[in-house]
Amino acid sequence: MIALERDRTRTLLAIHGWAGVLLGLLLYVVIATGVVAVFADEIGDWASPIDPPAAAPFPAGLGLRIAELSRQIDPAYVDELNLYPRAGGRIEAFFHRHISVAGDAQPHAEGAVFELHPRTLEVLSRRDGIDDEVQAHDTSNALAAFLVDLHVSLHLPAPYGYLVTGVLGLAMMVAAVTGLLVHRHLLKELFTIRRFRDALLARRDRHVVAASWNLPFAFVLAFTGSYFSFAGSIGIPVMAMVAFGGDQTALIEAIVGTPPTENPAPAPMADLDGMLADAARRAGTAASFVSVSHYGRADAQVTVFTPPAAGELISHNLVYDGSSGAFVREKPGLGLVPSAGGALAAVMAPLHFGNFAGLLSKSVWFALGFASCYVTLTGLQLWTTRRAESPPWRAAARVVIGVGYGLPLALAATPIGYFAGRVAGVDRTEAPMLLALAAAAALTALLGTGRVPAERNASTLLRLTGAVLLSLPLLRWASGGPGWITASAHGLTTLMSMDAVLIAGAWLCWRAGRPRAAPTALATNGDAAAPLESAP
Amino acid sequence: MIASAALPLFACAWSLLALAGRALIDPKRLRASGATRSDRRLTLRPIVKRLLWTLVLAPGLLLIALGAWPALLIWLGATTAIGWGLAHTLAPPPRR
Amino acid sequence: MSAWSRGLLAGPVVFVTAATVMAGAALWLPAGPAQIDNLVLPIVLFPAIWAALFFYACLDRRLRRAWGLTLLLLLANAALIASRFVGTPAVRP
Repeated sequence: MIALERDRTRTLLAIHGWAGVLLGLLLYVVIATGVVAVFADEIGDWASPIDPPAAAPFPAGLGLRIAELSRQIDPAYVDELNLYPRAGGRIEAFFHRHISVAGDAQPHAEGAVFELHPRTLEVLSRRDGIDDEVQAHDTSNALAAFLVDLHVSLHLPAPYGYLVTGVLGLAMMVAAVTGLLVHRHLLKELFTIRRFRDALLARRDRHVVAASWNLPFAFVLAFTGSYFSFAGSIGIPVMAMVAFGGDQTALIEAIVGTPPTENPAPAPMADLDGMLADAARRAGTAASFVSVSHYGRADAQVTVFTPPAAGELISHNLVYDGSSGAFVREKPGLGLVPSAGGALAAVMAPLHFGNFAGLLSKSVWFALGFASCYVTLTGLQLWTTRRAESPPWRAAARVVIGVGYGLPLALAATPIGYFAGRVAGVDRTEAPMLLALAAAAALTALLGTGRVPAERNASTLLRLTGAVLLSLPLLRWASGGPGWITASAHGLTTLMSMDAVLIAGAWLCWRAGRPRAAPTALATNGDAAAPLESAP
Repeated sequence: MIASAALPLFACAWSLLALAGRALIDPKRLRASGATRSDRRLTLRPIVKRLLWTLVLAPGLLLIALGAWPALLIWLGATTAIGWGLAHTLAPPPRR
Repeated sequence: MSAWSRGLLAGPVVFVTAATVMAGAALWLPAGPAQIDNLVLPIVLFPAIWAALFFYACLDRRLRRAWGLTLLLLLANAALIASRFVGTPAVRP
């Protein structure tokens, strides 16, 4: 039991409630989209599969193919090269140079992106331009990118989006810490959900129990999330200003590790396939990202990144001499030798994304995110319903229900926009996805303005979400995707699993949408910390 | 993959059983759901409660001793999610 | 009045102070074996710096002391950063 004076508890309870109620709805959006973003890779593979799937992320012959492509583009772009698998296993090769854009302190990349077939290595598409532009035209990965962007920046322009999500992360951290401090009977009441006639009181218990169990991970997800949001929007620019006169590229080079001495003499690249094979052998797992600096020069350096091998938490970074192909060193993510800062920064990603042990860890992180969603939504419902005697709070309670149950509908509707946009052949599928999202939001608002009780609207929205989820496998297939027979014959397991998850999700939403009795408003305030003994 | 998944899965299954036992005899839960005195007999023994919490946490300590950090994180995450699931599932329905 | 004062302190003032402490830490934290700790640790720990200052600003019963201590941290780090800019141009730690 945590002993606190009564006035301090009251202050903390007020902070808990107001942090939640002022930022709770946006926080709910960020958490809910984060839950979906856990499976961003799988969503990409589901929406834009390559049939049959590739056996390895980087197939043999890639080095030669890249050399060929380097001769097809503006030589100015042949400086840096990034190689990474995208939706369906497609390989993206981004030849670029670093540029600065007027009015933007952040460094940018300008160049040409090739999307390659992961088995035949044929060029599926080519896009030229500046980083944001070339990403915007990435159709195959657009659905996953749209959902991830919603999570990380709420689709607001940089750096404002990151600042907003960063502040939301801080609010979530505050809600978790204050929740821990005000709910003094935490450990004794981990299983206590009392039998109330009043649904609101039962909901309070459910909120407290869910929050208590979810507390450690809510804190971890909030801390790491706000770190990711603020690192790019405040941390790096401010540090660059203090230590490098505002040069962010210099700061990043210093943090990542000193690049080799400049030698611009042209030199052919060594066998990339050999380096990838060597990296896979050393790390115990295949590469997931390759970065080449000064491609085609004597000082070329190849860094191969692999995910954590089985039983490991941290990814591997292996550095090769680009012109000889010789292995130079394995380095930490940041710095050339192990350090406290590097170690701490390295655990942020696995702790936030939960992607260190494949589907198993991702599933656990999905469940933890879902629990955080539940806690946020029930907290908001508690705070507003408890004050529902006053008209503004009654309206707020309706808004909470609208956002709480309308958001899953809107997220489920987004793929409809994606598939429709792809069938219509639009170049940027962002617009139809936004349209689908907006249509679902408008429908939710329309339902909310009627005279129907908010709880019944929640049921309707859940059932609509179920119906939309059920339609997604069908729409995927109707828009040119493989059917189940083909998918099972060709081993498209991610696609089949995602379809199954969507159908199961549809059933769960439909079931959860059974109409229920509405909770009544409570006259008393500030009883969220009331111990069991005061129960009726 | 299978070998690396086995360790956290076993740890989670172990803690699930221990947590289920702990939840079933939880005195406050029983009192809140209106159990009779005879149902609450076991809960009178603090040693049983303490033993079950030790059993719940034992896999975590083992994973720390083994330095199996990914398995530890999976276990920790899954156990908190399972605990919530149990509390939610075992909750009495609201009175009508 | 005091609620507004505390709100101002715990809100914008604490946020700016946390950012300034983060920036200032680049200059007073040891660089460590990889020569990056002074740059990386403050960025990673920014949410913790903010949270510590926020809870302190909310919970200290003596509001004036809370203002004093927060402003002291802000000004000390700001002065350190300013002294670097006045002395030499861009400093590589």
